[in-house]
Amino acid sequence: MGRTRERRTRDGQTNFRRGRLRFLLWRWHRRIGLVSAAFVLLLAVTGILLNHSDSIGLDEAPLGPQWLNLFYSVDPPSATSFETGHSLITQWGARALYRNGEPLSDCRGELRGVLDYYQYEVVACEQELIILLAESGAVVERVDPVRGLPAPVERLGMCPAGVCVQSGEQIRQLDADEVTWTPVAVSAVSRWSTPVPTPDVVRDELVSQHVGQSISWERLLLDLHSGRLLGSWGVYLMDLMAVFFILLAGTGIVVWLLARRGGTKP
Amino acid sequence: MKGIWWVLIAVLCSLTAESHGQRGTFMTADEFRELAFPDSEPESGTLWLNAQQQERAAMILRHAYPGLRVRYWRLGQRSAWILEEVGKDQPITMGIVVEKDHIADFAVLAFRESRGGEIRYPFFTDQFRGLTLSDRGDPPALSGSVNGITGATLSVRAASKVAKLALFFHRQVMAGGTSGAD
Repeated sequence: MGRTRERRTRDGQTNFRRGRLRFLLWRWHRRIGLVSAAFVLLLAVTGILLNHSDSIGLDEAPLGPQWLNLFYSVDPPSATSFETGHSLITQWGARALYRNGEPLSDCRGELRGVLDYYQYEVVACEQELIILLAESGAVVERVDPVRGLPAPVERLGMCPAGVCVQSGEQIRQLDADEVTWTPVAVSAVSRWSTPVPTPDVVRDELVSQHVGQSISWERLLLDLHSGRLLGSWGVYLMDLMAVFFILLAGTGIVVWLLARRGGTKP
Repeated sequence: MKGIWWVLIAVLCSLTAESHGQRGTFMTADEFRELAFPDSEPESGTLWLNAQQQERAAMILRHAYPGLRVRYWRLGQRSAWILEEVGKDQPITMGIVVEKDHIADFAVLAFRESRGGEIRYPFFTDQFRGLTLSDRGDPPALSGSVNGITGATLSVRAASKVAKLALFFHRQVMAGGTSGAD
């Protein structure tokens, strides 16, 4: 009789300890589940999309400038523009030139000015002068320091018999047909080419053409999935979440086993 | 141990100096004209490229010629051209003197790349002397081979293209066509 009571007492204590453990695990299972629910959803959605990214075209679809700026904080490069009677010449980034928003050519150095001269349009960069046909924008010729261009060009101006450039103290006038240079006094310059603000429509066009083309939606999904979108801390966060998922699985199994032995559900 | 670091720093400095030392402008257009026509005054000319010539030039360069007109100097059967071609990512300015149908002289006027500057030395440029444009092959080829330089493959390729282009332009000018002296 005494043994039976003793055994009942021991079973009762064991059940009590199991119950406490089950309750404790269940409570933490719920907490961890709540915290990691958003990440489970994120990983599941991005995982499904990544699995089918090529068939739905996400691997080639560019992100677009707004999203690029939002997720990757990439600002578009600066734009400098000069206007003539025929066109708007814009330098976008370090070298690339655009004429009315269309790709024109590379240019050595910063854009310094643009002027009309008869049938030509003369574009001046620091280390190069580009002569264009004003009507079509076709490049006729390039003139660099080897051919006598005073460099670096600081300003492009209009002189009595052609365009002239200033480099340091010297100002030289170009004969665009012969490509010869004549020194002139500063008083000979009737006007200097001055920059104009790049119109929003041109800037937007350049942004849409160039920024955001390099990163696809698939890349964004991969970075979201791995946490790399937040840098190295994002990766650690995803590692922590992975540990939580392991704990969830572990606590879930243990709670289920304890409940099975105890005969009750938590 | 300190000694090893100093040696490493010295090696790095010398490598950097070498790559910077390859860049530069070695000759102006006027100096090249003097070299091409010593003690004589050539007439300057402009070759406006028609559609056919542009197409042929594009075949030689493997990209469009970046302009509608090409300047040259000419005296009798001798012409001199200053042309540019990109080596790796920067243009190399080269001067080519053509006499009758062969290259009489070749010079690098300006080199802007960080590697491959060896193409400006006579051991390389002298190889172009006497070469003509072979009509066999499409695009046309040089009549003889040009030995490459290790580490300067793209610069060597650019020099060969420009040599072919100068021979082609010279032929156009001598044939009359759309060319004319100013």
